[in-house]
Amino acid sequence: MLKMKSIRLIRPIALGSIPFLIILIFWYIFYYFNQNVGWLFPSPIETFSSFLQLIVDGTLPDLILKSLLNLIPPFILAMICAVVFGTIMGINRTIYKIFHPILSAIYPIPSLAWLPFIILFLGFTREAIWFVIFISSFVRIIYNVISGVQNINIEYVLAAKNLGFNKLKIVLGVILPCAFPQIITGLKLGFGSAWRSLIGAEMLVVMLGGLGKFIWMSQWYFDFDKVIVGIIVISLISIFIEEIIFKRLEKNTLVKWGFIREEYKI
Amino acid sequence: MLDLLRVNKFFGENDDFEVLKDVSISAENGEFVCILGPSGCGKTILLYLIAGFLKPTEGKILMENASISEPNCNRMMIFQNYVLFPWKTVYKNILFALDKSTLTNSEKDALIVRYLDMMGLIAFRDWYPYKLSGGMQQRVALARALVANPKLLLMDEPFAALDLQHRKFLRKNLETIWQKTKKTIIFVTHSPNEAISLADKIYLLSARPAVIKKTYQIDLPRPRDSLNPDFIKLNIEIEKDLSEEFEKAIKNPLMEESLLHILNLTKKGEIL
Ligand SMILES: Nc1ncnc2c1ncn2[C@@H]1O[C@H](COP(=O)(O)OP(=O)(O)OP(=O)(O)O)[C@@H](O)[C@H]1O
Ligand SMILES: [Mg+2]
Repeated sequence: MLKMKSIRLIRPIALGSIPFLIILIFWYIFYYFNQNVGWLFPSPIETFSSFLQLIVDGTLPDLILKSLLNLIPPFILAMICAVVFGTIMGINRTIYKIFHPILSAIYPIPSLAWLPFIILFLGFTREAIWFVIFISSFVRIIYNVISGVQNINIEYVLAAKNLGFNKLKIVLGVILPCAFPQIITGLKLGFGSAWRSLIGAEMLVVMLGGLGKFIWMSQWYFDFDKVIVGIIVISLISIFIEEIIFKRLEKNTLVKWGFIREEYKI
Repeated sequence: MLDLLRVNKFFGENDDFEVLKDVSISAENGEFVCILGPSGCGKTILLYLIAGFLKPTEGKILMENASISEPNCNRMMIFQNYVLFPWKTVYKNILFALDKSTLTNSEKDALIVRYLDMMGLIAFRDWYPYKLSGGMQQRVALARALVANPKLLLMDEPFAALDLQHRKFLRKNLETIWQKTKKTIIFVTHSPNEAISLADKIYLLSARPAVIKKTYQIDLPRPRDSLNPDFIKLNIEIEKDLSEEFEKAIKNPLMEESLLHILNLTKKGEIL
């Protein structure tokens, strides 16, 4: 029984590791055949030891902290604004008609393209980075919130009206839970795009830089092991947040309510 | 208590899809009214109009002589497909219906437990709806509507998904509740037998566009016995009327030909 359980826990991790192992092998082969050319390309082992060293000397924790400080506040603000405003747009057709065109206009603009413009107003400040991250996650989240709200099964709203709920209770107690699957998708996409913009923005506004600046500067000094460490750390943090926050959120909502049915195969 | 005065309901951009036409229905206070009609004739739409989810294209709907505008917990709809809230447990789904009630929390709890007991759902009080069978979900929906204590109950084929024993059991319970509480009930069903067992009055709707084809006043003594000769006579009559409308609704005299064609294709292996 216990054995079964541990297999069930380890299996997805083992399966998920396969592509990483393959990359590692190719990396090593590539390194092996190029090591005498005078390249600065690091081996997996060199990279790993530099990773450990950067942790021990406090560089990485400091960088991560800086990056999170650049990332989290605007992301949370974007999340709140997008859910509130997206819900309103999903419900009210007039407001939708007013604001949808401008959202569509903003959507395809790469968020870094805002930076030169925003630096004019805010200078090379943290607020400039925050603005870029806000915009980039806001548009992705709000798109999903709007369509999540617009696509709910109207009968739930009818039943709630029938039970005499007021508008606010219908929105909070019925429409938002109904739209929740797509809202979570929006949050995931928004978070991913916030990370990508963050690294880009940190490369450009270097004095506030965390991981982005680190990768950028390491490249100038030909420290390719550090470049790779920076990239890996970004991935690790994203995986960590996906597993810890979003997976848990899904388990406590979508799986519990039967929106995701794990007992059936598609 | 409830009066529909020449109600029309049309859909489509130019109101060119006629669903209900000139439908006049009335229910006295405490009356049990059944609506019979072929599939797709507009029975659900009719209930939605009475519930206030939709507005009639023409005509008036009056409840206690006041025009119906918004949905209201005095008129409680029991949906054909249950519409339980997936993010609430069985218990909390029913509690939702007591949102506006002035009862204390322990009174609410006692009431809900009573209903769960009556519906045989007490063991499932903390389950989420997706784990329940269709019939169980329907019973939760029933409990949720009853607990809100409406004056008018709108029931859309509520027992269609249940097995015969449950159906009989809940019919009897509903009849008892109705007799004790003097609620007015509009009950949609496709079973003449069920309609005759329950109704004071039956409206038979025609195929779409639905008009009232016939009204039957049922005066058989209660509890009704489906083996009673009068019951059987009525049943045969209504079934005949309903079959006529069903055939109009299906409107495919070539049914047999199509079937043969399908069988042929299947044999040739053209379709699976
Ligand atoms: N929004 C809509 N637009 C156009 N037509 C509609 C709309 N809603 C319902 N209808 C049509 O109205 C007719 C009646 O639908 P309704 O759901 O009331 O049928 P019903 O009598 O309840 O059938 P069943 O017994 O199968 O439940 C159907 O032909 C349906 O296609
Ligand atoms: Mg129907």
